[in-house]
Amino acid sequence: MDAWKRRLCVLFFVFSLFQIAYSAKEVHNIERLDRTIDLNKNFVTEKVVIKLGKGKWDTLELIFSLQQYECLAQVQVEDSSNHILPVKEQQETEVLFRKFVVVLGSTPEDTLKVTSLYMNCLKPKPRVIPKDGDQYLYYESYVRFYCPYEVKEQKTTINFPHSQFHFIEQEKIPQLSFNGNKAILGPYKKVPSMDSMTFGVRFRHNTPLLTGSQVANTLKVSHWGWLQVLESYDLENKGAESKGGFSRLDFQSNSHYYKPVVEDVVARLPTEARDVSYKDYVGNITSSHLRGPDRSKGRILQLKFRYPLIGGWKNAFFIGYRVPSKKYLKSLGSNQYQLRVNIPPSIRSIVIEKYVLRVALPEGAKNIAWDYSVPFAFDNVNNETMFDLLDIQGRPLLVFEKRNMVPTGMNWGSLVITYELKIWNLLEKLLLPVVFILILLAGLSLASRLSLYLRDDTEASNSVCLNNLYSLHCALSDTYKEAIHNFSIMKGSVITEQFSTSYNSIHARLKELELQLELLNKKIASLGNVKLITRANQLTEIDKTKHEILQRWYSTTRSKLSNLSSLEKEIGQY
Amino acid sequence: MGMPTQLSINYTRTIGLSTKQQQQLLFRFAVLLIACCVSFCIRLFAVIRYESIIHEFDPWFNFRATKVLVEQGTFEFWNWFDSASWYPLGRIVGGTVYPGIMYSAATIYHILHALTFPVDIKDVCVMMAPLFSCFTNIVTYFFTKQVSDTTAGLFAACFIAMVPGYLSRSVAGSYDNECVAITAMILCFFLIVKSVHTGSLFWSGLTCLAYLYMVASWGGYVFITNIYPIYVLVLILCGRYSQRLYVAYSTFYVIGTLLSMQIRFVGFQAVQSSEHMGALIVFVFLQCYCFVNWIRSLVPRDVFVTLYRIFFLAVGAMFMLAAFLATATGYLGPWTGRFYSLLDPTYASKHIPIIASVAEHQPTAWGSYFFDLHILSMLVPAGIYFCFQNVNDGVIFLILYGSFAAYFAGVMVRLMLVLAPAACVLSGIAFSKLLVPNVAQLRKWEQKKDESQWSEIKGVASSWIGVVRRFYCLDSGVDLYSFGWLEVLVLFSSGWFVVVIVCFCASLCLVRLRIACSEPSFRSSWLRYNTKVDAKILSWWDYGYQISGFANRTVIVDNNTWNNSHIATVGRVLNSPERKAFQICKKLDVDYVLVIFGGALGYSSDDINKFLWPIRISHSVDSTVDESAYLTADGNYRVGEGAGPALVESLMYKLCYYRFGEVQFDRGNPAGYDKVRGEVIAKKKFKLRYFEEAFTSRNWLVRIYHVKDLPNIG
Repeated sequence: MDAWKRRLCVLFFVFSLFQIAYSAKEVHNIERLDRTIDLNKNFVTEKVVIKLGKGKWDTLELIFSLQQYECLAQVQVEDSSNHILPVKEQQETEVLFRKFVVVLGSTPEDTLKVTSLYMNCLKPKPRVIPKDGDQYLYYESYVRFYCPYEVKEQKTTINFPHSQFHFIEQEKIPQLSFNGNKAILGPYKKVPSMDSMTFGVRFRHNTPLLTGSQVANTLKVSHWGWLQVLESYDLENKGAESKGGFSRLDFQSNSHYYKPVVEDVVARLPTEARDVSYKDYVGNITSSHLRGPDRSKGRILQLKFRYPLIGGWKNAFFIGYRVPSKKYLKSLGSNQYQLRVNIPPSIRSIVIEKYVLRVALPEGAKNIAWDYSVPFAFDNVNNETMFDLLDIQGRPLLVFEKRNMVPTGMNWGSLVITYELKIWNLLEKLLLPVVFILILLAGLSLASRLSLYLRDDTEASNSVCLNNLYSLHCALSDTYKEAIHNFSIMKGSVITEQFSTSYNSIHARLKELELQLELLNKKIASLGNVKLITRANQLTEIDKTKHEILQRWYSTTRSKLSNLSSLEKEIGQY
Repeated sequence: MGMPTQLSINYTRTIGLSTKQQQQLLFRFAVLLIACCVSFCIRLFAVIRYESIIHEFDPWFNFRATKVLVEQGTFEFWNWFDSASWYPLGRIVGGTVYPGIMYSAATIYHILHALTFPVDIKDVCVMMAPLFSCFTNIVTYFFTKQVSDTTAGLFAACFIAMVPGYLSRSVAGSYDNECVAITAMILCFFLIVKSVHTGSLFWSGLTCLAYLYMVASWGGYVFITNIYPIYVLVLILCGRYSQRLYVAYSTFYVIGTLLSMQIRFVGFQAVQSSEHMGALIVFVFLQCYCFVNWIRSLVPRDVFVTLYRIFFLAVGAMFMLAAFLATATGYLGPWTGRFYSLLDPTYASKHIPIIASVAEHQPTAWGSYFFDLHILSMLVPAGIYFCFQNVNDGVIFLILYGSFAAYFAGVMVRLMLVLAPAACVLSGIAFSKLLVPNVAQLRKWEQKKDESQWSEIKGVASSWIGVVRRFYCLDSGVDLYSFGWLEVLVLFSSGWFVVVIVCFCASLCLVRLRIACSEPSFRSSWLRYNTKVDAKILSWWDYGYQISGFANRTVIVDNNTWNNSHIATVGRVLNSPERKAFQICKKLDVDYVLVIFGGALGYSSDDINKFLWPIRISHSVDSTVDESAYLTADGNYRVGEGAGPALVESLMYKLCYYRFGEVQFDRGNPAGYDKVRGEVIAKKKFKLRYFEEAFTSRNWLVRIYHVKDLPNIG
């Protein structure tokens, strides 16, 4: 049995050897590989120039270990004539690494440029430094480029911001040489695929590692002229913390006392930006300067924090502004609209762990389609609903999410969103409040005309009669008073005709009122309520006497007046 | 039965308002509207000049509670146990808060959202005070109208729109109980007078609802609880007892007390505590009085006298017995310190330093009567005089309210707020009574054609009125006689008075604002982002609400002073030497200590200036605290040369002046010169052993220290 087993094993081994040899034949080689790692900023740029080996290359595979993938912000591949080639992330996941596939054109170039950006891979070491101490960062990477191909010759150049750096266990790294701010690894010959030897380097770098743990950019489109932008930032300085807290006195007396400190940042706003605001949870922050508009750069907003961000400190704030939407919004005819949106936030000097772009379209927008050609742009796109002023159904809200973003890393281009919006949806916002107020007023006026008394019907009609009666009598006596008042203020040379016309007008009104009163009295009589009738009779009596007095007064006054005028005439004759 | 309807249609013109009445209505409406607009606008200075923000201390808590109410709903709010304050005790907020203002704001918030206006709850809270001041205008109008007449009502509404005493408490952003409570209080007064005038159950029921709202809004509801019974007593003594009064008060007491017990903070206090006993006694008394009156109508006179004596002896004995038993068994709560300090203004400063330490609990200086009431303070006596000229039930209430409010305003500065509406109503009456007759005179002058014989002043006056007449009534030929008051009002409001008052108010607002806005770094959000989520922060209790509001961190004590010994312990931390303070801090599990220091900026209401209060208050937990050790040899409070030895060693001194002696802020002054105290500090160089500086704001206003951990060894 044992012999059999052994034979089988040998057979299997030979077979697998064959297989390996065969597959090795299929695998392409890389002729030459030059890698440059730039550690000057708060993120890491790795540029790799790959000279491909012989054979037909349909695709090029790039692999990133999980650790690298965590920090990876973006990968961009260009051919020798600087055309960007499409890169696809392969979904099926390996255990140890993630794979990206570059599709090469039909006329393959032999040289490719791969630029990848990493963020959050620079760690302060030590974590806590003395207050005025320098910050040292630690960076770890592969000694040889981590790739699934065999490389015939490769070299790595690392650029440091300062000549003060040292590699961990330097003696174990082969062919390491230094040149001022540079360290050169290699050249290495015949490097097998997936070589995973790493190096660690610690270097002096006093840049603040300003990181946005979450940055959200919300755009609200209005067809009435403006595009509202609200950006929210959660910032953290991930640099080395300083021992023993923060001393205001030292900071005030020497602004370079704390090395990795950031006091302000700059936001670049569009040239047409207006109504810029800078606030936080507590309220408005007054320490900012808005410059421009400058033709080339747009407007620059310099934001000073409420307190300086030394290592380990956090801050959060909002920036808001608005721009005329005509520059971004285009009508395509037949109710179709196209919106162009800038992707990166206005503060570009930070790296962002989670970026959320929200675009709120007008209420009622339909058939929404978005198009963005730059690869790697978003990890996640959601459709949500947002409620704003006078919204009933809510506006469609497109939410784009991206993990790891370096805003300055590339030319982002713009996101194009097309949608359909009917004119009715535009007018709705205007008409709604108007109609609402109209209905409200109509309701009010209706309510004021309704009588909502809970009373017995006959009693109600009685009381209505009585009310009418009283108000009629009031009107009558008002008229009497008015008449007397009118006469009393006529002084001086009053012409008899004027007097009698005024009396006649009053008299006509009185007559009318009395006619109404008569009608009412009849009704009351028909109702047959004794109390009411007696009351009505009493009132009518009083009115009658009043009327008589008025008439008497009128006749006497008139005769006096006519006497007077005749006397005047007589005097005039003499 | 179609006839009556027909009738009413026939006579619509005559039944409805006559043209004159319609115009009067329109004018009244216009004046009220203008008053509302004015009162709303002048309260917005803070928002216009600065920003939409909550001011001061208490509003921050109210705002925080409102957010809980809006975000988590009524039940969560009702059951809210706030573990972030009074660490380690916590606070049962739902049961220790007057929720009126929070519910009002939440209601407005929900209504606006239902009407598709997605406003932020913060903005609703900021605008609450101006909004309610508009409501106050309207309610004051109705109150005054009920007591006196329409003209006086309009005057009062215009006055209360601008009276500084109320204005300063209700600027935009001062989201405090008072801003809602004043509206509720005057609404209550209006309904009380209305119900006593009409004797209707309907109005009495509404009074109870208004009382419920008042109880829900402010602890000052006790004022109503006590003034109504006093009013009833006074009416009976004046011989103005009536069935109407009986109905109104009995309904109010029974339903109102039941309703007020629904507020958890009040609960059974409404029938147990001494402050509420007056209302109960008067209620019982009123029943007896009514009963006796009824008996009187049934039995002959001589029998009645005997019965009367027996009855009163029995009731008196029972009452004494009940009072004795209730007090002995402890059912009846004792009088609280705040009550004593109402009766004796000097009580608090003698016995309860924590009440005395609050600026707004101090007795009023005479000058502030003028500053808070302005010209009204001179019109109030005239108003009272006119009230006595034409006495009715409502007027008696007004007189009582005015005199009590005047007394209480003398006891505590903050109660000036209660006096302000009374002063407005009384001055409104005085103004209308003084001016309306004269308007008729002015009108007569104007009607005389011959202008030459009139003096210049009269000419000016009549031309003014002419302009106004032409402006308002073109040539409708309506008799303007009845609008005389309006002419005066317009004349008056276009004159100097408004200008003066508005300027004055504006300046007052700005003074308050400058204080509020000198705290930009005060409200430094550093704590919010740069400390652990469960960090505990110790500071003097004034800043508790703000820290929990701005920074969302746990505080040891805050402005809701319900546990004096806890506050005293914090005071003891601040006035102990560093080592002892550290020990107490560790016992309290404190992570950070926050002090406010104005010596570098010149901000005078800082912790060093308040420091005598922590010393006095901490005396209640540690009797070894000796105030004289913190003072100079001759008994002065100084931080410079000769400062008390305990002061220099105290934690407060060290935290405020840590490294302050090394820096020279102005060229003219030496290093370590304290701008507020105006002297160079006594001890410039010292080190902190148990605390380390964690943060200091740009102007050194806020200084936060981290309490160091215990050493690993020993």
